[in-house]
Amino acid sequence: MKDAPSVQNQPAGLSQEADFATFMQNYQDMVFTCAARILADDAQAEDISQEVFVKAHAHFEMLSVSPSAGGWLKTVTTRLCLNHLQRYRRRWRFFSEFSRDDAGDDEPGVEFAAPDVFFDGMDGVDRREAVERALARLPENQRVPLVLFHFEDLSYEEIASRLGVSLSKVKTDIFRARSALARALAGLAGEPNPA
Amino acid sequence: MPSTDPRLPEQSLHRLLRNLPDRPAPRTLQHRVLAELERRAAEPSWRRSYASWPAWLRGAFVLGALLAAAVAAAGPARVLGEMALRIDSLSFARTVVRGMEGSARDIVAAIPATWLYAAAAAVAASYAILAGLGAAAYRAFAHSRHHLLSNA
Repeated sequence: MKDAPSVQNQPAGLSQEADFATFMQNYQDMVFTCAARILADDAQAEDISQEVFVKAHAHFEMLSVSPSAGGWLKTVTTRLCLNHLQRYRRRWRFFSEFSRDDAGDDEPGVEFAAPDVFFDGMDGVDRREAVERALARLPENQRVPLVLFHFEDLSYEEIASRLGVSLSKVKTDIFRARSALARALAGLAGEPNPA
Repeated sequence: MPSTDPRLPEQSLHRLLRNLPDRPAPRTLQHRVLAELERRAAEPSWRRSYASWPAWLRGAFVLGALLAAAVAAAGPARVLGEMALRIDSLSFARTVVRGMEGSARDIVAAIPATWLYAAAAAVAASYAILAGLGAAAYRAFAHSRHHLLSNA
């Protein structure tokens, strides 16, 4: 977990506001990235990031000297994102979730080659953007557990508990997410490099 | 070349994802946060959330809420009646409240039960139709658009 930046080493004499601005600069990319990967929506991710830092400001006395401020921010970001998704999901479930929950069970497995094979001829920025795009295109029920597992280091059990779904559903969704991501990346490998 | 090691997919993907750098936050984020903090600091205390109220105000609010709940549970007319025995000026308020309670009861009793059931059924049917139309519209426009964008 990225906990390295700290405002403890800032020059003495800075006001609390200046300290907080430095604190934000240190962590805003991490918070925004965490939210954007879970929500797959930059505007919503910015709203959530704002809420996270407003909460952080209320606890700034503690966070400014805490070595685990990054962990605190990630935890709050994840919790707010999941709350946001659950609120949204409840609101729209009637409208959008008529499809069977087990749809796609018979999807074939996919062979996953080493990442370098996918990105042969792509530079670092294109590669990063391609993966981020592929990740954002995953359906929510696959993307969220995948992000929590691979980026937030949560176990299957913790993810099941946070999302309020069964352990087997979490495992299935993550498996499908990996397959879908692998297919998307394999598709990229077949496309001509846009650059 | 695809590997035959069944753990490789997970490991490769994990490595690939973990090596992704953080995305830069929008430039507007810091400005938005500071503006929101300023806005909240400028808000009068009565408009802030309950958690940020002073302790005395929270205590008074809880007492007031308990009192209101007790009055509602006991019946406003009865409470006013009890109080009117002690305070003469409240006898008029007691009379008004009792009159309103009696009028409401008479009006409800005068409406035939069939009408009440029909009104409830009409409300339920309207709600179902509205939800159905909303669902159809969502699936026809927003949902299909989302699928098109996802598959693009």
